[in-house]
Amino acid sequence: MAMTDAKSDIQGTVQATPDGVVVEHVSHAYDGKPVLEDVSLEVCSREIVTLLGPSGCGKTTMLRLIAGLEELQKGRISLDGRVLADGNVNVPPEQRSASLLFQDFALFPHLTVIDNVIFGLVKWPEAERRARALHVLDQVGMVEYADVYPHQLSGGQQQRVALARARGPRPRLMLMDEPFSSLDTTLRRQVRDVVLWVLQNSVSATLMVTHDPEEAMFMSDRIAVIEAGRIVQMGSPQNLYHAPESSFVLGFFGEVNSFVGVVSQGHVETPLGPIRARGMQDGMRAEVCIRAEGMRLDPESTLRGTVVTARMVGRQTLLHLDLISGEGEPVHIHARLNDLVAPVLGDRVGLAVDPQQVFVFPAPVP
Amino acid sequence: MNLSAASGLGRQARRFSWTRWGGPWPISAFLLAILVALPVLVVGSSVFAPAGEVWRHLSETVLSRYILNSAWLLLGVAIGTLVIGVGTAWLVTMYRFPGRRSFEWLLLLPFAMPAYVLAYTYTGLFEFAGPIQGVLREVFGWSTRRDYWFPDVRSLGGAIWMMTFVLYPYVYLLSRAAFLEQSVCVLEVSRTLGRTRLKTFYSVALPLARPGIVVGLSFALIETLNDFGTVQYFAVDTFTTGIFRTWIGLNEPLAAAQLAAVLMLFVLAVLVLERLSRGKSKVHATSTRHQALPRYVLSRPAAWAAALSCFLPVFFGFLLPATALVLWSIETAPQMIDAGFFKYALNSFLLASVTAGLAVLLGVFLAYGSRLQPGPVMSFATRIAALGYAVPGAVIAVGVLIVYTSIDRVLLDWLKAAFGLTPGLLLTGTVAGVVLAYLVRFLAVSLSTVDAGLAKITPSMDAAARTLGYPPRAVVRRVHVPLMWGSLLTAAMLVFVDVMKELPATIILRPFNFDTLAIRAYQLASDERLADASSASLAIVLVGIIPVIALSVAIARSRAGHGDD
Repeated sequence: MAMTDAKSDIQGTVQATPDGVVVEHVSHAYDGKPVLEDVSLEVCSREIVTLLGPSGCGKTTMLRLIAGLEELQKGRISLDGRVLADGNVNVPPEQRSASLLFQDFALFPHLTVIDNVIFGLVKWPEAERRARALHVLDQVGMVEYADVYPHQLSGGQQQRVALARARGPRPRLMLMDEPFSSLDTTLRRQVRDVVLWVLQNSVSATLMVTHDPEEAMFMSDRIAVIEAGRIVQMGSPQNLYHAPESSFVLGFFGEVNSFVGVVSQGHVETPLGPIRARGMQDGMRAEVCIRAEGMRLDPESTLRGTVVTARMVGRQTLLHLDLISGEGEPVHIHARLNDLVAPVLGDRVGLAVDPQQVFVFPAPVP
Repeated sequence: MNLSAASGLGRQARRFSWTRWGGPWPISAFLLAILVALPVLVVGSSVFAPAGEVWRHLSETVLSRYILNSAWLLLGVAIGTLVIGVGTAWLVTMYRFPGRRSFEWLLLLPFAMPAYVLAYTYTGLFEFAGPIQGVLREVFGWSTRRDYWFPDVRSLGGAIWMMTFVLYPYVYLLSRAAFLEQSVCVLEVSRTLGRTRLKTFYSVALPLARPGIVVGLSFALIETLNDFGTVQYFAVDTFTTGIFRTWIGLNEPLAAAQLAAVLMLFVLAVLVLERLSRGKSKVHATSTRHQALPRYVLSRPAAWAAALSCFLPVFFGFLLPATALVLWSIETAPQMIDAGFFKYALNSFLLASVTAGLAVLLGVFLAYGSRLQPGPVMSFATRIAALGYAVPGAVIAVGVLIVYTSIDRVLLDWLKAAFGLTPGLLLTGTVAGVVLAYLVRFLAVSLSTVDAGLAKITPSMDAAARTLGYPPRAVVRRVHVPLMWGSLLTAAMLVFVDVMKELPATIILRPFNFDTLAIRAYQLASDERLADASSASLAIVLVGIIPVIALSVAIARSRAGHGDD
């Protein structure tokens, strides 16, 4: 049921499946201030789901509720068909078989790397603990650091040990709270590869939290975008990228040029020309969003702009343009081109819009 | 999103908001805070009692002298500790010179010397009959006092000297930490913007370090106001000596309490100054990038001058008096180290260890309360409990004694009426009473140490242990106990040493004929048997060196992180 219509996931009753975690209608408030409102989601065994949202949107609270570190106020959470928390039950965190990977790693400074891992194997037979610890350390490439103390390790190494420790007891559910945010960009990419590889080779369900859309797309089978405590859209990375349901979701996955206008005869007039507003009635206010990568150069086009800034960013060229129109202030737009032949400052270029990258949403009432 | 509150260990306080106001934990913490605050409140309320004849007499005769002497003392010690403390801290953090690394910790040694021990030793060395003046007379052929001028040790200036040399380490320690915290970048920016090194110090480094320096200074000034042994021995009339004279000499508890209340005003002024200076500049952390300090190389004469500037405070504050103490004790030990000496040592040890144990226990109780059940009551309780350290021992002694006598009276009346029992006094003049007074004063020491230790165990470590399968009790045993052990020992050691040195509260509150090493040194010195006092003094200093060593080790370790030289 993973990639079907996201809305039915949220509002319909979720069927209890035997494997994975099921969150139903969870709401949560701190001192009367709501942080989560009627959130439902499901992560199957072997699946990686990401909660994506800006900081302060309630996504970390979701993880803590599932881990049992925060007491559930409303709704129900179950794992593998067993209720972890609802109005009556509240299984303490140590009995939930849900490992949490922390932003700050939370390694115990008084224990060596291997003892940190063995610490989590409390329910394993004494004789197997060491072998298991070495095995999970080997998976993350840290086995030669087994007898070192955490403070002697780099950030990336600490993160890998934390992952090994969390994986050690074979949890049914892995929860990861911004697991890569304290690493620098290069290191982040390396550690991310390791983590993805390890998770794909385990039977756990994984729920990750991040504010980084690229990370979410890289890691996840499905992504749930959270805005102000609510899941606004859930689906596969492709689904979210190609069929965003709101400008909020759209804006999360890349830079957007947006214009607001009134629908007239099924179209919205924009500085880039009239855009078709499918399914919207005349007189409605509409927000037209065009991805920066939806713009391309077209010498033939009558739509023209002056290049204000041209920058090469990796394999793409980023252009800031002032549209040349008859009257009034020039309209400023951004374009991301996939070719490296960059126009020069001050050039007047012709522009075309890729209709695949144009989205029209009902505009919020001003 | 507030994640700090629910740590995952213990019950969640968030949902049941009543635990933030009530519940057994906050309520007992609150009672504890009241117990700590009571002596101070009693002293404070004495202001509202009608001032008697004695007070009028005091205010006409000695009050202005107390105020003036205390003010001069504060001013002198402030200037002295600032110059020495900030100057040496700047030298050892910013320059290379011979012995710099050793001076980093040697400069802390005077911490081990109580001011009164320094006072006794200096007097023994520099008085008319002492060895220094003796040698001078011999060399120059002088015979009487009239033949030459020599500064009088037992004077206001002498008291300032003694306190400056034992208290500058507070300023040194905190300004050094503040200098280390500064990013070298801001200093380099100042240089590239055209300031000289000296101007950079005045216009950038010093203002940035000011909050730290002021905290250190306020510690030094509070200790100055707390001092009894030095000013009493030097006959410099300050509030502490005045309180004693009024209480014991004139037998006027109310007037003594009123004097104590005025003394509290001085303390309050110091605290307010510290707060003001901190509030205005929330500068700190100039940058998250911390580069190792460059450590400028000095020219040869300048390097030796720097080394000398660091050596002199160590010499005057520790080496000179310690050497004298050692020599005198070797001389007098055969007579002085007898059964009596061991009894005093045992008394000191018992008082110090019982107080240290209790202080750590209560510190743990308060620190964990604030972590697990945070709320207005807990934070109020811990704040009050932490204030005790600012209250001079003499004030606590007066307040405690007034409280104890009234509790004793009530208790005895009740015991007599209910059971027909007539036991002796239960608190007044008992060991329990002394320990309670120590707790009022030193609870803050253990609380802050335990707090700092607990802060190193992040909430996510608790949560990690829980999700890895450990119930709360096991988390405490497997994570908190091993990680907290060091902090608890440190807390116990600090309180232990503070109790060993404590004089004013012990003098007033101790049971009859119950003497400690500090009391013994004080009594012998009062009888002008300065050499005889050396064994007891030396014992106190030796114990006092333990935390200094621990501190030095901690500093050496933190320096490794800064990756210098």
